[in-house]
Amino acid sequence: MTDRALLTAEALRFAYPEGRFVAHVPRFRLDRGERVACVGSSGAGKTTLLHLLTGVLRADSGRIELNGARLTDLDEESRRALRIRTVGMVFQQFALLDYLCVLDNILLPYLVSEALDLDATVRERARSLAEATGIEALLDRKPGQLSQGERQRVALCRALVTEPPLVLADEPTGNLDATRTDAAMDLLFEVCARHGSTLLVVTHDTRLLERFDRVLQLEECMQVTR
Amino acid sequence: MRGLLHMAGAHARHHRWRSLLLTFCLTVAFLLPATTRQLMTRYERDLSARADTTPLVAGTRGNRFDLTLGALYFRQSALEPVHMGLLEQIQDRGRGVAVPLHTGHLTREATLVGTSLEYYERRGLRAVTGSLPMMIGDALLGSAVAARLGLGPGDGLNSDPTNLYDINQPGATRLSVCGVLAPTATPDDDAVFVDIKTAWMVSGLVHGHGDVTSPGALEEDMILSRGEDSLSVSPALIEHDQVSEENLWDFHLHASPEELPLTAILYFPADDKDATILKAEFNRSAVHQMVGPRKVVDELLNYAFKIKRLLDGVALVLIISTLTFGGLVLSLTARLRKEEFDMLHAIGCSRSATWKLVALELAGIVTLAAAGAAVGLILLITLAPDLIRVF
Repeated sequence: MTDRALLTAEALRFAYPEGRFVAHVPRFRLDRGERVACVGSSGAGKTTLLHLLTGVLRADSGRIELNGARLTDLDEESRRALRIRTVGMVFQQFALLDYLCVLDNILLPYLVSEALDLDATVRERARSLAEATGIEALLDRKPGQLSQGERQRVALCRALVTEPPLVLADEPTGNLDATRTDAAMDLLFEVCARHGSTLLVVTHDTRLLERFDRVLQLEECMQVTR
Repeated sequence: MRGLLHMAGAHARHHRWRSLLLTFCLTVAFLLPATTRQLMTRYERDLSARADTTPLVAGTRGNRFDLTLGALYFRQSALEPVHMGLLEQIQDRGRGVAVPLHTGHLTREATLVGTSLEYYERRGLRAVTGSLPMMIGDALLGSAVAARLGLGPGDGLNSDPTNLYDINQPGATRLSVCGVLAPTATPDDDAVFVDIKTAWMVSGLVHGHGDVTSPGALEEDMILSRGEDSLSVSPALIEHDQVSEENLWDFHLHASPEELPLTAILYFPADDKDATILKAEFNRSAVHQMVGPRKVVDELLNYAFKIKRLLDGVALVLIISTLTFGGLVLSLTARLRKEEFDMLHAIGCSRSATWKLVALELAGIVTLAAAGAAVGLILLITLAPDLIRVF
């Protein structure tokens, strides 16, 4: 792996326990600061690809290097520890916790991991992110009191609060109308650019693709046998 | 861990009704066995302590529980009274100390206990204000009665009439409060003590009235008949209802002293031999019995322990069902929170952290329930003393 490469994967194989879905990733690479889109239809395995590349799912064989660490050689707890420091995730449904206020949702990685220290600097960073995304007045509210757009911004802040080198977004605009989709993508690009984070977005929305440095077809990245 | 604790607290607060319901169920499950245990400990301690300080109780043959509880706790008993002659027989042996007890009357809902000065000595009772009853008509109040009635030395109180609708029965007797006992946390706190003669006065067996024998002392229509050495007068003759220095010597007895009734006799033997001999003599009698309160109380406690075992069983079932219910709730919660946990695992949270999250919430609820049970127990003890007071 060269210095530019943030994530590389080679000859990955993975099968769900039922054996009805077998995935093969011959080669995959993300460079630092890149903005990459991966396009595929619904149910084609986009989420599986993201989970494989970040070690949420353990590949049956093959090799992954993430930010200089050999992910495929690590046990589950080590993979989690690496992931929480290195990867920020934006989920399709935002996956905010309804019982926590907005600020706590942003700080979630620090609340659940003893490997990360929640100090005044981190709190200040969370507030800065909230300010940058225009939700600084909502920090005490619960997700149930927010609009879709506001919820998406909270999810984005949560993904970025650890200042991860890699941000993965799984259909981040799937629930938004066209106007809000553009705004959300503007925000995602802007914040990732400000933090120098690599961005990988999986989506089936082809309208967004022009904005990315590279666009990959899911079928080219991952071959699936059902 | 602080972050997880914060999240567990936030989750419990967010689902406050579920958390409260679980806490309430667990509180009840903890409180029930704790209360029965506390009650049993107190019953055992109080019953045993009272019994241990009363070596022997003599009374009419019959239910030994009635006799013991009547003599130790002043419970009204259906047993026939023994007579003063029996007490004199025991005293004539010249060994231990026999103490008379008469508990047949009430005053302001407190048992009026007629006894002798030896009772206070043997029970270690002392007047915190005033003095022990030295004169007929004096009343010594237990501390709880004095507090309840707000009375002290120099005040008066009436005995409860035995029957309001029968003028042949003695009416209320005015008693003079001579002192208040120091608190003892025993049934003595809830009783009013008088001299044994005062108890008989309240019964109407000792009474006082003005001169009726001197010529001209009474109008002729008040005299029903004259004997050689006796005089029958009309019930219309008004008797003294209160003892004073002026009328003290008017009080007299219209029966043989040996036949005056006693509820029971407490006996403090000189030694084990004295106790054994006296018990043997009594137990040969077809009319009287003498029991060792400790043995009777132990029998009573055995019954109570059987009930406690039953209650413990019920409590165990309650705890198991509550834990099962709690487990079901948690299992459903874990299922409902699967998406949340999957998300947490995806961002890098360890599985142990998610288990800790659930465990901390449960621990919080259990801790709250235990604290609630402790507070409940203290409130029960403090605010409902009747529940935990022995008889």
